[in-house]
Amino acid sequence: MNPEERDEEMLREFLEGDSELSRLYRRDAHEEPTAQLDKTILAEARRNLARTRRVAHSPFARHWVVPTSLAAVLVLSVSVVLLTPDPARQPGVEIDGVAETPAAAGSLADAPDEPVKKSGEKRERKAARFENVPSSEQQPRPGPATGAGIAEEAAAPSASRASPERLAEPLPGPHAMPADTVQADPAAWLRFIESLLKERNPQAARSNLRAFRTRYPNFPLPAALTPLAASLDAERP
Amino acid sequence: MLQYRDGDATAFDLLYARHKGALFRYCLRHCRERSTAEETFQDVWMRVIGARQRYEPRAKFATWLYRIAHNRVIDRYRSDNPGRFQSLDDNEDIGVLPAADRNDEPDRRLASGQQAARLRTLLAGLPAEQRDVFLLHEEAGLGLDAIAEVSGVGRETAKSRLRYALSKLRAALKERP
Repeated sequence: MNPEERDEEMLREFLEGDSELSRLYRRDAHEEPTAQLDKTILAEARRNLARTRRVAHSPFARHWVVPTSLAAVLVLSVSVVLLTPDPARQPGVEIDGVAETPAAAGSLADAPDEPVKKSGEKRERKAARFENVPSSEQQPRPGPATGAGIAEEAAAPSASRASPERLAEPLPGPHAMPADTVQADPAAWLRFIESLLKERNPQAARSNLRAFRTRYPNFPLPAALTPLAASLDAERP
Repeated sequence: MLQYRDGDATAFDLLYARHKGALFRYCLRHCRERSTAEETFQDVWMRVIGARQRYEPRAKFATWLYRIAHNRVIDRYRSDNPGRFQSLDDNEDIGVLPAADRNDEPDRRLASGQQAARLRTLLAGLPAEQRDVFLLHEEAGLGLDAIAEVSGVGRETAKSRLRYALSKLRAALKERP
């Protein structure tokens, strides 16, 4: 047997675990890690499990975590859509083209003869807007329904909500005056006084007519206001 | 390992008990100092534990375990020999015993019980890559294919290294009966 064949034979025996070298090596190869080292490693293995056990890692959870997550997202999305109030369906919110926005309120004040809502609630709101706050003589303005009010407030933040500008306006009462823009237009102011009469608020109508005549002494009065003007003349000393 | 990955702590206990001795000796033969071997051994297991959730059985567990150990040993060599060591193949240890080892224990080599210690000393004097293939077979029980996979070399290269290692050890043991 030449050296190469001998080496090959030795290698074969070694790989089969049947060599003298293997037996010799294994004779005293019994070193082991210390018990302390065993304890440290086994404890770390358990700590690692405990850390990740909070998140389910069972085979069942691994298979179902994605479908469950998708279902949860779907349920939440549908719930949000269904529970979100639809402004177009809120009671008290105008959907006939007259939106309760600051711009709309301003145009109403500037042109009170424009088409407005014909319901009693709307008229009350219109008068209150001119007079800022209903007087003690007026019927209390019905408060908005719960929930609907929230949407309405959101839809018309400055038209119906107390704002700094609104707080600076004249105090409410029978002598409350309309907005300056209305007072600047005598025809509009007269129409406002007429609306007060129609709404059976004579005190406010008298106060306004008195102020109107002081400001516009020569402006012709409509027939509807003539009796009221006559009664004011009669009060004069 | 799959059971441990899925949350079975006792599975790890069994796994550890099965492999701890061989892996520790693998580290000990490479590191020579017990404290260094213990550090390396612990580091290997910490990596096994840390990789628990990502573990996929692409190879036998022993192959995977010793690949980690092999890499840790290389890292240890590199840290001990900065700027010099790139792989086990670059270890320039000569394949003969240190003079002190040969000359200080002449009497011990005569006893058969002392031949085992002599073999370990010879093993320590082998080039690292030859020592590695020897240990991967003796301690880990890996075949040539697995040894090649762990070492990152071809099967013939692993076989050649093993043949050289066995030849040197056998010659050194016969040097002085």
